[in-house]
Amino acid sequence: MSLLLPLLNILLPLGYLLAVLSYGVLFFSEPAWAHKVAPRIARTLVAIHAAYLILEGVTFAHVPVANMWEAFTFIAFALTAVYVALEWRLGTRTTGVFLLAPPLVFQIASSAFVTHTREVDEILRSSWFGVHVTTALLGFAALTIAAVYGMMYTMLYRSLKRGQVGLVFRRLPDLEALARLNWHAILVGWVNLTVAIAVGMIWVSGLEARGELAGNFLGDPKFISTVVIWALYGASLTGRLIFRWPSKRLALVSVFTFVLMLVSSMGISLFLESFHQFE
Amino acid sequence: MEILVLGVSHESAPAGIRDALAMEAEEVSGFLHAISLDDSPVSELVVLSTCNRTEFYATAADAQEAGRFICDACDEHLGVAHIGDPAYAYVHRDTDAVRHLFRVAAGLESLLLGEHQILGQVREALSLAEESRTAGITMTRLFQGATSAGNRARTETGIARGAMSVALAAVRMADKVLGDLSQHRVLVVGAGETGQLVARHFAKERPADLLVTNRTYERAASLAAELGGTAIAFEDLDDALATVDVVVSATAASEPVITRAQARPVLKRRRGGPLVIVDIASPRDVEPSVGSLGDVFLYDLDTLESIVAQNRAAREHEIPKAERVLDDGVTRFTDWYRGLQVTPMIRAFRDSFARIAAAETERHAKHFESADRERLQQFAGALINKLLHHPTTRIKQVDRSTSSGLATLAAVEELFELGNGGSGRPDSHPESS
Repeated sequence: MSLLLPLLNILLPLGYLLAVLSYGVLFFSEPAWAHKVAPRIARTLVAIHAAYLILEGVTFAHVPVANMWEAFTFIAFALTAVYVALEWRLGTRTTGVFLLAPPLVFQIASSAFVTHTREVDEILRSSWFGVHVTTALLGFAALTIAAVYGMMYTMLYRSLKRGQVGLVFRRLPDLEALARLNWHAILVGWVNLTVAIAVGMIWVSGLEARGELAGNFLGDPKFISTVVIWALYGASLTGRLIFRWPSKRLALVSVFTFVLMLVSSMGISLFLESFHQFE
Repeated sequence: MEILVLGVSHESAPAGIRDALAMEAEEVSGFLHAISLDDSPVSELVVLSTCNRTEFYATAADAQEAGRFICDACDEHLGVAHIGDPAYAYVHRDTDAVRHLFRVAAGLESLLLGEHQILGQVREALSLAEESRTAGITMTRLFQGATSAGNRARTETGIARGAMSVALAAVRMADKVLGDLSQHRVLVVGAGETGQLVARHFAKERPADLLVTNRTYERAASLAAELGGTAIAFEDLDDALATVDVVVSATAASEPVITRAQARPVLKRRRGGPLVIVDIASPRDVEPSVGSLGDVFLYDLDTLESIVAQNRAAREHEIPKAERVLDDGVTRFTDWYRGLQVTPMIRAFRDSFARIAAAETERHAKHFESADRERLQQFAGALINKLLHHPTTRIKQVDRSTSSGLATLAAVEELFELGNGGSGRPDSHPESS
């Protein structure tokens, strides 16, 4: 078992690379074999990744989201599982290259930097932590998917405005379908993020009041950046519902806000002190 | 036995000659029933006749005689003497004839590259010949192989992808923006000839509502009735624009019917969602600047023609891929056909060895116990099968269209004394096997 985890840690990014390449071939030249091979690779990858996460949890005796790099592999798994479910439900295989590219990046980052420890803070064994982290990661996964659909929407929008009927036109679903997927993904992501922030605030307030956690979470850079991101997504949802923002604006905002979320999250984790770093 | 095709097409003959040879299904049946293949140099015959080509596919021991027979039949029954004129007609033999039919079935020889109609016409040609009892095993297998390969070429490559007419391109663009058009409302502005053509294409998509407007209300009402839509007064155009998702404009007006100044307030009244405007009028009905408004997708005649050109180029780009798919089908058919051609020779070859084996086991049977004699026969049979497997496979692969191939078969005949009595001759009629 001690050898299996490091082995899977190397194999997973290679598996994601293989999946992205096969979906890339499917997108660009659509050979008959890729229609069979690419989905099989994705499904196998989900099964292997699930086994990896279970093994990680059992080996180190904690939910494997105790640090950012562990969370990244969890996000990669969540994104891929959601994509495989979408592909199975909708039967659209040509968007796989776009939706599996983010998991590839997350998994490479996780495999490169992940460090495991058996010793985790006692507060991370709280059920509050479970709800907070699960909703936060689900929200992050949904917002990642929203950004990918937003990017696809923007590409197809440009292509349709210019009357170009190339690869983007042929392979992507219709524009309104992409707009609906983008909207629903933002909505699901924002609701999860709202729950994560609310649960986190209530939990940490209690910990601080009891003196179990030092400092003030309101000044925490991770908390501030998350609230800003949450407000931006909330504003875009309001813009759509109240001010009838066009789908194109919503798509662009979802891509921009996602990039901002990614950069701020990584920047804070690497360069700033935050109580969100658990090790 | 050779396979040949003799025909004229849009590439080889002027319209007058093609028209003279063009036959409806009943005429093809009549022609096939009128000619008698008994005592003729033609063994099997299938006629493929479309508006762009008329082709006669035949199997015959002598291709030249078969060609003359077909020319005479056309002269006698159709009153057309040009079919044999090399200035208009083409002849392909054996593998070239097979490849030609496969290309025709895939739409590679069609005026509109990759068009679908030809596949049904190829199927119908075989069906008519079967009904008239002029198609045998070779033509049946050939035409079935061609339709199968034609289907594969269309599904596995992009040879039939993308709209090839302005009207269809307009429908495809609207479909790509909005999705299922049955959930959307369409407005047709102008009930002239062009408007009618495009409106019919949109009507086929069964939109949620089809509104038609025209300066002369009666014409709008007439077209709306034909398409199952609703006619509205031309004065209500602005109100209608606010409620529809697709606008098809094809009036004969000299000034724009939809201006930017007019469109802006209309768009604000809309519930949201994109508006597709198809302007196929000349001069334009819609100011080009309307296309720069948010969520408006404007396609004028130039853009639609450019889309058709892009699709045509994309289809042309797929030709080598389609040819590879067809090559696979051609190889399968020719392998089968070569095997069929040499079947009598292979049978004679195996029979001669079987006779030797039977005679030798009989001669040595007395040295074996009765219980072992059956095993001896089994051994001899198995040995013959093993020894003959490779030579049999090689004989099936011999290309009879080459002189070296024919020399190989002659050598086999000579070496194993298969040429007597005619049963072992490769030229024997395949259906006799």
